[in-house]
Amino acid sequence: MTRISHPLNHAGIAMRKLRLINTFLSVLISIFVPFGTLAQDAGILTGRWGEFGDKPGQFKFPAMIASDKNSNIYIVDQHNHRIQKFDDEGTFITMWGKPGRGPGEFNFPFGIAIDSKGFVFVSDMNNNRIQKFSPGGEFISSVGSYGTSDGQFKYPYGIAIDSNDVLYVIDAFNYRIQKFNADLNFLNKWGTQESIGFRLYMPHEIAVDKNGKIILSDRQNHRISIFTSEGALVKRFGRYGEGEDAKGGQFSEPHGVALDERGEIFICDRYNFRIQKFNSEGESQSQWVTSGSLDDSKHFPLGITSNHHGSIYVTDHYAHCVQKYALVK
Amino acid sequence: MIKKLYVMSVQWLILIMISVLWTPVLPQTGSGPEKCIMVFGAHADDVDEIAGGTFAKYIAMGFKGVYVCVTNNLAGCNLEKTPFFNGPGFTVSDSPLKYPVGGLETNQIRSEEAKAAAAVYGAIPVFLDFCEPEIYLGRKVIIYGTQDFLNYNPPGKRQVNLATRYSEDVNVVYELLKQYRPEIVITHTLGGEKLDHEGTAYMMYLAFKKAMDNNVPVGKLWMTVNGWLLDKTSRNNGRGKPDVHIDVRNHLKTKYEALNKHLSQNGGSGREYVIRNQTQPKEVIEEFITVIDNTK
Repeated sequence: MTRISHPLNHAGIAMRKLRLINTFLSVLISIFVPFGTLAQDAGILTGRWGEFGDKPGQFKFPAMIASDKNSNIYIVDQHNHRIQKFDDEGTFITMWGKPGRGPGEFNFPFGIAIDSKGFVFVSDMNNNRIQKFSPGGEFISSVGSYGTSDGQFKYPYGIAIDSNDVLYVIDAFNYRIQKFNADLNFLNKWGTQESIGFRLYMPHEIAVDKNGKIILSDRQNHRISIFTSEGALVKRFGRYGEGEDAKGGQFSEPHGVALDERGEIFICDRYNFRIQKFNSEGESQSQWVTSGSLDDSKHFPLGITSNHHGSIYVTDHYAHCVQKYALVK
Repeated sequence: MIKKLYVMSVQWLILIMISVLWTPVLPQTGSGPEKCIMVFGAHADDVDEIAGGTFAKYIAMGFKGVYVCVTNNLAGCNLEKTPFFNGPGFTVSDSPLKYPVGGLETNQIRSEEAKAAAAVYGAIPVFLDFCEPEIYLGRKVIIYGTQDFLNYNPPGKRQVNLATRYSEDVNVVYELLKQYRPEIVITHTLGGEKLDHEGTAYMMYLAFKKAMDNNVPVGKLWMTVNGWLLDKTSRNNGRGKPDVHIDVRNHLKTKYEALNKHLSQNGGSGREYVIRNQTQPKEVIEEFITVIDNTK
């Protein structure tokens, strides 16, 4: 595994200053800001890396993001048709993939998930397949082609892996979720309108909690749904809301979904430029706008993941960067 | 007995001669066009809009139908507020706004809709994958050739209007004509209308001429009346003078069933959508202008 220095060294110094200032600000906030208000500012920007380009550490429209048990960060670099791997501070480790249809090649990949052994699964969206890689990016196997049969896809979007290494794939235009084992053998499927009582509408991202419950962002319904592992609907929450008046629990095109160690749910509320946090029951807890305290520009959050240290990482699809947040307790 | 057999043979010979004489004489070498109708739409729903009834009618008569989307359908998808937002199959989000969808997703949505529409006719869907002049990046429109567009680098071939300048792009259409040898080809008009419709029509025209030059057996090229600006009269109202009138009243059900597959465009209210846009204002009679007749 090749480890090289941070590609944006000159920016690294600025980021360290930014982290110090943010830490200072978070202390100030925790002292002076009443608790109720604090709940609206739960995430403090502590780092950012990436810019438009095709060099290591640069991105072209990053999509989903995942972290492994060592807190390494894997990012789907969608329009570069590759995966990039970083440590938890954004130091580049390795990358793999190029445009194409062959093994290890991608055609606009979207989702990513890591299993308990560190294997990396990627939804190769426009190739209609799932590819499996070693932690270092060596191709292992793949499943899928365009179609409606078991193990086929019409544009696989978000993917997630549970604690038993069962893989869940959003098969967007077949309006279903497909399940595979870690060897990419088909296991099961669910999610049709008949079985869940409503029609998924551009579902995008999926996560699995410790109890095996599936949390799914149903983007164009502007809602989040929680299912059992067999597809029984447990809860559906959220409704449309956009702009300054949008309250917690309202969404405008929710995308990325992540869970922390405690089972709390984080949602990228893309066109409200914010992350929303819910408890495991789907009750709104807090939210924060995805711009830094030193940066007034709003950022479009698309993919999100958390690591074991409690940090939250968010991809900005249009600013071609990754933002790292610390949660203010 | 021999005399009876002789009479029967003569009768059969006469019948064969009559059937040969009744077949239209075509100028091409080799066999003539096949019983095939191809409709080339710039976008996924244009096939249904400009000629859905005619397409359905000829397929019902035994023609092979080829449903061609010329562009890669990266633009023009509004999931939330189409003019007929509450149509069947739509889920309601309470959104007050019309939201365009980004290029990649639009391509996926509209391609799926086109495949479903082609299946209604029992036609073969073909996607030529030429690029749109503009697409959406999230909710922001970006124009072909700008830095934003280059950065996005969407899938697909050259932009459809520019493609008319390059023989390798025109050859894509030419090869399709060689493959299907259509008796009837329908597309947009050469003048007016939208940029990508015009580009589609011109590329079709160039490919059709090339097919004729190379003795590929193709029949007639029909273009829509709407947006016709190539003669003095039509310059006043944008409508040409049709010479082809197809009664499609018995095939409107199929046309609208196919059209309603394009939910992202018409929300499942295809009939109201095309009547409003007046692509075929007489509804039960679809009209075209013969631009090339290679059967004479």
